[in-house]
Amino acid sequence: MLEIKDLCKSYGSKKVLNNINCKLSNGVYGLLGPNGAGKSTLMNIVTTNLKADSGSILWDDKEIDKLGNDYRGILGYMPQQQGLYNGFTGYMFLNYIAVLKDIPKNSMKDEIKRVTEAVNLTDNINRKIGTYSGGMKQRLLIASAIIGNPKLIIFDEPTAGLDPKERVRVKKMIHTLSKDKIIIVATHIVPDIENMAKAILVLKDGVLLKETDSDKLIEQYAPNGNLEDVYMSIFAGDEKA
Amino acid sequence: MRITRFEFLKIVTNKLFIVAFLILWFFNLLFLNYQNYSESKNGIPYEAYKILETDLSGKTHEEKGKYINELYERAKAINIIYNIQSNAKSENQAIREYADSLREENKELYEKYYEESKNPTWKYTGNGDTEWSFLERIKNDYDKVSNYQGTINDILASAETQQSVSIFKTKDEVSLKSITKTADIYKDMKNVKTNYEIGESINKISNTTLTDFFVLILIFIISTILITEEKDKNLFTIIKSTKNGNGKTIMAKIMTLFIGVFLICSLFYGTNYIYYLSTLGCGNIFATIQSVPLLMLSTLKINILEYLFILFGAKVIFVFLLSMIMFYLSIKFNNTVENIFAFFIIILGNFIIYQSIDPTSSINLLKSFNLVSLLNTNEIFRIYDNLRFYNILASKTSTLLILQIITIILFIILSFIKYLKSMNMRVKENVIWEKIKKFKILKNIRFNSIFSFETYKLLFVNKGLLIIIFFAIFMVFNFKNQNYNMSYNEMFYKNYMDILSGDLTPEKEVLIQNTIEEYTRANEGLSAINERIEKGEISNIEGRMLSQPYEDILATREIFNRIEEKYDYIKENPKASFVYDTGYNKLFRVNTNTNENDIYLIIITIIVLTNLFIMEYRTGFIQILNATKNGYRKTARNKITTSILACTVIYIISIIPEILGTFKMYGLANLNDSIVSLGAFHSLPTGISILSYLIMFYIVRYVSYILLILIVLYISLKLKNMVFAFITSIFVLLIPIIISVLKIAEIKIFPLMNLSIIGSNILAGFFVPTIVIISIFLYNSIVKRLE
Repeated sequence: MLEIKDLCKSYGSKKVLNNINCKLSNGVYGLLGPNGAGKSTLMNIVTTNLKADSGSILWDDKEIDKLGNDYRGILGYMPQQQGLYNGFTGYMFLNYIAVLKDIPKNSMKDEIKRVTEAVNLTDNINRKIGTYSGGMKQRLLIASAIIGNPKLIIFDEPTAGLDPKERVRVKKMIHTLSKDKIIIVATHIVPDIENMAKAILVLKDGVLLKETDSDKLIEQYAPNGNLEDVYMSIFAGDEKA
Repeated sequence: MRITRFEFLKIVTNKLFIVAFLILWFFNLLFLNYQNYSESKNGIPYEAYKILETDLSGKTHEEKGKYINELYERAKAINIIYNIQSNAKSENQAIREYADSLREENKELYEKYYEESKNPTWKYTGNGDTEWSFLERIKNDYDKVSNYQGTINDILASAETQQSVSIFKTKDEVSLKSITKTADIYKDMKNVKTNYEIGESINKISNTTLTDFFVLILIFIISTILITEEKDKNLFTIIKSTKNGNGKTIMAKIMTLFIGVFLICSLFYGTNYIYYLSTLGCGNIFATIQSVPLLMLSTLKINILEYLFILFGAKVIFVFLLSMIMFYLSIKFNNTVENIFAFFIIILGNFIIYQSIDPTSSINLLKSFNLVSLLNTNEIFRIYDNLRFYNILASKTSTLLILQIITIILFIILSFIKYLKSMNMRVKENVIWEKIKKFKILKNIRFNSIFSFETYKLLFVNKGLLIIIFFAIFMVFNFKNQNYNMSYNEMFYKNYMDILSGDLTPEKEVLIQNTIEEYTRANEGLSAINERIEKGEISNIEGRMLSQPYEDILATREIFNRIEEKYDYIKENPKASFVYDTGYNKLFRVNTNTNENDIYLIIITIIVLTNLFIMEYRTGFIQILNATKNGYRKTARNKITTSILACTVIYIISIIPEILGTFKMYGLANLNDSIVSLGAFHSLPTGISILSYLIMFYIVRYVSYILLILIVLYISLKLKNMVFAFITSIFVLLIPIIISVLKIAEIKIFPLMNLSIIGSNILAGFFVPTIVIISIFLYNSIVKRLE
């Protein structure tokens, strides 16, 4: 279980995260919020890319700072930015991530094969990343996040740049994976999380507005509407970028 | 034209181009200033040429001759008077007698300039000796130009001899035709009027290797911006799908390339022109070029001003030719690595052809029409020559210019066709690397550790391997082209030290004493001859002939002083022995802190390492690294290890030519003798051998080099920006060395940074511990966290 307690983070005088509290168990969580709401900062703190000013994050009741590499061992992260090496082949890149994640040598090959199939990249895995299309790079990043079967996966805009067929495939994959792990999906594409998210975390100006399931949100903010209408209702006139 | 404007804007707004341009321009100016500074300190100051140019201006050739001869006579006379006066004060009777004879010999000059010698002024150089050698050079040059008609006659006579004398009849028909043609051309030069011009600024303007190198770097960047960067960003899919995106765009790019070449040449060579003409003087720019000693044998009937324009034009043509080759390669090949590799192969091929073809060969056209040879643009005009390609004979000047223009047109057409035919211009698989990967050994390489990935990133993603290969080739080339000829004095010193080599023995003492006596006898012999001349027993000419053997003996007296000093030193330090030390002193940088290898080493290190950490931030991969178990610390540690290993190779490449070069020239004798045998190390423990010290020296330098590596990595990690990190590293590590090497100032504030200052002080107690402490601090700072 992942528990966020009283988490605060400021950049100068600007409070980016203000007293965030939530408890997450296995399942998919949608992280919603306009640009500048604090989503990236929250994800960076959860993935140990940033340190919080105050508060704590607990994994199975233990602080992640104290768990250190043990925590990172159960973590899978797919950032929005396509941080890939164009000179590497897809296989080489996954191989590299597997080494970084300390996956045993004897199971590395099978694991790469598994994730490659999961994201439908088998035919192109030996090509240079520099020759990949945007969608292929996106799928490779998803594969890098799920390799090693982590218990906590964080996806930042996982379906951006994918064609409809691939979007459906990725959504199905996320849903299947979520049975025994926590998956946080930060996205602007509201329908992507509509039917699969166990709960929606709504961030506005650094404050966690809601941590509830989509049905309740719809009921409260847009009766007779959908999650997109909820988004529009909460953030109407709020989008900064 | 509108497209050209946008293509041009791409270049002038590109950060890499702007930074590279400013840095290289700054370095070019620094080099010009250094050259001036260095020659002012160690040779003839630029100011001397400029003042003399002013003094000679408006004078006829004959008036110039009279003026120069008077100046020369004065400088020579005053120096002889000094010589006489200093020898006359000697305690040695023979030397005093020699002074008397010298005074007698130069009686007229002595009387004429005696009063002036009491308080002489040296208008041009501020120093008597330098002024004499300066004016001697000027006088020789003047005499050379004065004899212009004689030189032409000699060429014609030589041609006639070669055609008529039977031993030359073995030459083939084309060679004889070439001789006739050359003679005909020079016959036509007989009516050229010369009026001596010093022309030192023309000499300097003609030799600008460093500027050529800077210009080459900039045009490579321009070619990259125009093609490769757009390929990398996949912009050609947009550009080529537009109405003007094909023919018009490629023409606009070529036009931009030409404008870029022209502007860069104008700014760089223009700076050189202005600098040299303003500091060395320009004389009468309307005089014929044959008035300048360097261009005396040119057959162009033009004045100096026209020559300067033609030389600049020829430079622009050559640089544009090079840029067109680069441009074509960037269209043809799919990525920068293949592009650089292909260009390198072309240059290497040209170099091999240049080296292997004899100037008199029947295909000497290929030796001259060659990228390596053409770099020395001045040679196209300096002297008349015929180029041969089997039975075809043509004038060098016009042929080389026409062939360059034809090649440029050819590459424009090729680029045009290639661009239009390329359907999908974007970065593709690296064909060369794919082919290399097919080798069995490489196939078996498994990437199972962070170390292997970091090595791959450094060597292949960051092109470290290619840079190291280039560096190795450069060092081999440098090593092969160094001058290994010893001066006569050095040869004498070496031979003598080889004989004395080892401990001091009674036999060696006798040998030294005998040599000293031989010098004494030679001095006495000279005195006796001078006495006989004074008494009128023999004439001056006879005296000179008789003196010759003694003067030959005394020619080595000065260098023998070094041996005598060594002899006295060994007598005071019994553990020391005779060791030929010139090579060791050079290796250990005794009395010098100039070693260009240190500068090369640091430049290559900065180029190879700067991007290693930055790439993780630039690609945003740092976020993934930080979120994985083996992410940040292990990656940083492995990056450092890989960097140190790669840089160890660079270090070895930099020191091997240094050691081999010293060995080749001086030999490394008596390696097992005590280090105190080398005078500069008299305070070290006698138990240390030269070999042990040599090993320690390179180990300590290696340790300080590791500190340098860590500094480069630390700077790049902190700044996270390639351009800023590169510039900062250059300023922190290289500028202090350049300043110190150029002797602009003694930089000792942070000697650890300056490998060349380490020199003979490697055993100073504080040195190694300080390096180790700073290195540990930097290492910990780097591996602490990548955020």
